[in-house]
Amino acid sequence: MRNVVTHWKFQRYTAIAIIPLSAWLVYSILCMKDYSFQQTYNWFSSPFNAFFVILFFISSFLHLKLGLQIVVEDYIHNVKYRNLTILLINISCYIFASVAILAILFMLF
Amino acid sequence: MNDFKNKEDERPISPHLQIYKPQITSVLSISHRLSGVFLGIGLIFSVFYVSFAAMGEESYKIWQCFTNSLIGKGLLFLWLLAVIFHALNGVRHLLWDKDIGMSLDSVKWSGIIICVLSIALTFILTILIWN
Repeated sequence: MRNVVTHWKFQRYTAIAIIPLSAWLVYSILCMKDYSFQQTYNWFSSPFNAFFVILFFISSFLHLKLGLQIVVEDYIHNVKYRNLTILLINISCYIFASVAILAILFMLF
Repeated sequence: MNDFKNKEDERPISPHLQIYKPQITSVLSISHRLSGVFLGIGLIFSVFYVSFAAMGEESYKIWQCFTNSLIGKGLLFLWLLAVIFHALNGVRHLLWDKDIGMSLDSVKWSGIIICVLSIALTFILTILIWN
C-alpha cells in the first residue's frame, strides 16, 4: 500500500471490522473449550461460521501488515533493510492468510 | 565528515523511549504496539489451529496437547489480555480520530479506565474459561 492516505484509512476500516469479529470469536472459543474434534470440525463446516472466520483472517492480517509496517518504518532507519523487512512482512501475511482461508474452505466443503 | 556521520548513526531512534520519563500516554502508546505485535504472533498460531483442525483428528490431538500444556494456557491468557487491551485502546484511538476525548485530562482518564477495564475483563473471562 504505497498511498499513505489509503494506508491510514484501511488501518481504521480493518480495526472497525475486527472489533465485533474478535468479540464473537472470543465468545465462540469460550463456548468451544470442551468440544471434541468432530464438534470443532462441524463448527467450522457451518457456512455462517466459516464466512465470518475467513472475514476475520482477511481483516486481521491486513491490519497486522499495516500495523507492522508503521512499526518497522519507525525503528529501522536503513532504507534498504526497512523495505526488505516490509516486503517480507507483506509476503508472510499473504501466505499465512491464504493458508488459513484454504484450511477453512477445506473444512467447509 | 566521517565522525559526523557516525554520531548521526548513534542518535536514539524514533519514539525516544530511553529519554522520555514514562507517562500514562507514552506507556499506553508503546503497550499498544507491543500488544499488536504479540497478537500478530497469536494470529499466526490461530492459522496453525485451523490448519491442524483441517488435517484431521490426529493432528488436532497434537494441537490440544499444546493448548492443554502450561505454556499453551499461559500464552492463551496473555493473548486474551492483549486482545482486550488492544481493542479497548484501539477504540480510544478511533475516537481521537473523530476528535473525541483529545484534551489532556480526557486522555489520562480514558487511559486509566481502559487499563482497569482490560484487567477486569481478562480476569472475568479467565475464570469463565477455566471455571
